[in-house]
Amino acid sequence: MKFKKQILRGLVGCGSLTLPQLPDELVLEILRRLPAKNLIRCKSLSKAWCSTLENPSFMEAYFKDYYTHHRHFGALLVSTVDLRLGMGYPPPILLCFNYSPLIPLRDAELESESELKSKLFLKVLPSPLYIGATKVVNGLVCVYEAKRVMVCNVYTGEIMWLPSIDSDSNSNSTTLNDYYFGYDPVNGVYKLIRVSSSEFRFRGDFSIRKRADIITLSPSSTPSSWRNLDMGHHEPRTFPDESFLFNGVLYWVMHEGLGEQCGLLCLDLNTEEFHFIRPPQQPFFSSANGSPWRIARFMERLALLVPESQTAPALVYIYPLMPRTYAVC
Amino acid sequence: MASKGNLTLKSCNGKEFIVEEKVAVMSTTIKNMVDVDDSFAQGVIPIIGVDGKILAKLIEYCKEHAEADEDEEVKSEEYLKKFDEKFVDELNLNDLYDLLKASNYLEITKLLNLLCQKVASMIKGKKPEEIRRIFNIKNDFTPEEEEEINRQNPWAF
Repeated sequence: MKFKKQILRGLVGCGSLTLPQLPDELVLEILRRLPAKNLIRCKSLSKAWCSTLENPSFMEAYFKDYYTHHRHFGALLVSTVDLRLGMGYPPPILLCFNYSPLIPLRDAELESESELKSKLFLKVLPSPLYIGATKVVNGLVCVYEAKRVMVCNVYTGEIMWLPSIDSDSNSNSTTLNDYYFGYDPVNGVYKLIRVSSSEFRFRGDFSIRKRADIITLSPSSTPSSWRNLDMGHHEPRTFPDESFLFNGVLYWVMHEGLGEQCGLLCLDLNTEEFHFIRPPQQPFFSSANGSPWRIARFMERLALLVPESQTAPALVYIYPLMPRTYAVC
Repeated sequence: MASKGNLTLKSCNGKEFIVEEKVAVMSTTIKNMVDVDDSFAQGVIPIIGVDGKILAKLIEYCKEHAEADEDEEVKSEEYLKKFDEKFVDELNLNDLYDLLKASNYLEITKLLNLLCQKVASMIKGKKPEEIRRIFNIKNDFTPEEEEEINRQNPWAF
């Protein structure tokens, strides 16, 4: 007799390694009942547990499921307004350490602060000057206002304000700050980079002055102070909003235009030196072609992705250990 | 042959259990079979991969819950809660695994929830050494690797 096959609940075939006696869907059923903090701690149980809990599809299944069932989720709400008064502008931002770290709060979810607190494992930060947040790195995220920046652990909701920077800007200038966050596996420390652009008037003309500062955050000690970071001749006109962290190096995709070269600006978080990588001499990397190539992690290597176009199929270029050469995959 | 309103369930090692239909259909899998095909209701339903010991446990659980669903006064919510607690506490790890697989396969949702919750509670809030001991997990990390993993989990500043 054939029995109805159980429906797999969106899980990949890696869960059974953790508890070999049980099938994947049951492992997920069990693990989704654990709070994120407890679950991530299980990484240190064994290699099998570690690889399961580092598997993006497994974790995605976990969070999707966990969030739907529990609404009890490692999250941080940065509220720009008193939630009891309604939506306001800009809307509050919910930070999750999910794969999409920034989720604007939907209307339906807008309840009183205390209700939200009881439902979500969540910390509400009143921050009228909220500007933005960096990407989430190992469960830590930096949230910044115009003048201040804090690190937040999205699992526990703990926050820590970072020392302020001695700003040399005068009152005549407008300063815009961008923050990029990364992890240096060599020393096991986190580093936050602030790029500030100040517009100032010089003999009647407006000019832009750029500077980069860096601060080291160690899980075991109090933060040091900000240090100026030498960009050398690599200083771009504009930093893209998004950085990409891979193996202790931050990457920025520089598209052609405004006198900018096309390529990758990189910052080694260990040596704190900037480099520039040019992509292969191919027409689709130039902006004239119009295809927005991206950077990604591909088979544990750094890769450039060229999306499919009318004339060419999608391509993946893997960046090998030897710089400045690429292999077509 | 079971009398009307009763079903006969047969474990993989040949043990037969006569149960009331309302108890057996706590399992969605069995309910679907009976709904689709009347002959199941007359004959013997083989429960593949589930031995007599586990099937007896399943029936014990379903019986209590089916009766409670029928008459809330006799078996109150509080009574069921106590029953559930005692039920899972008496299980050893292997029985727990076997019951999990059986209730998953037979789609006894309530029991499945209860058992998953039990296993999760065995992990929750425990130190890694304790979890390894409970589930017989071998630590195959070198001390350095373990330290590196702990360092990457930034729980507290």
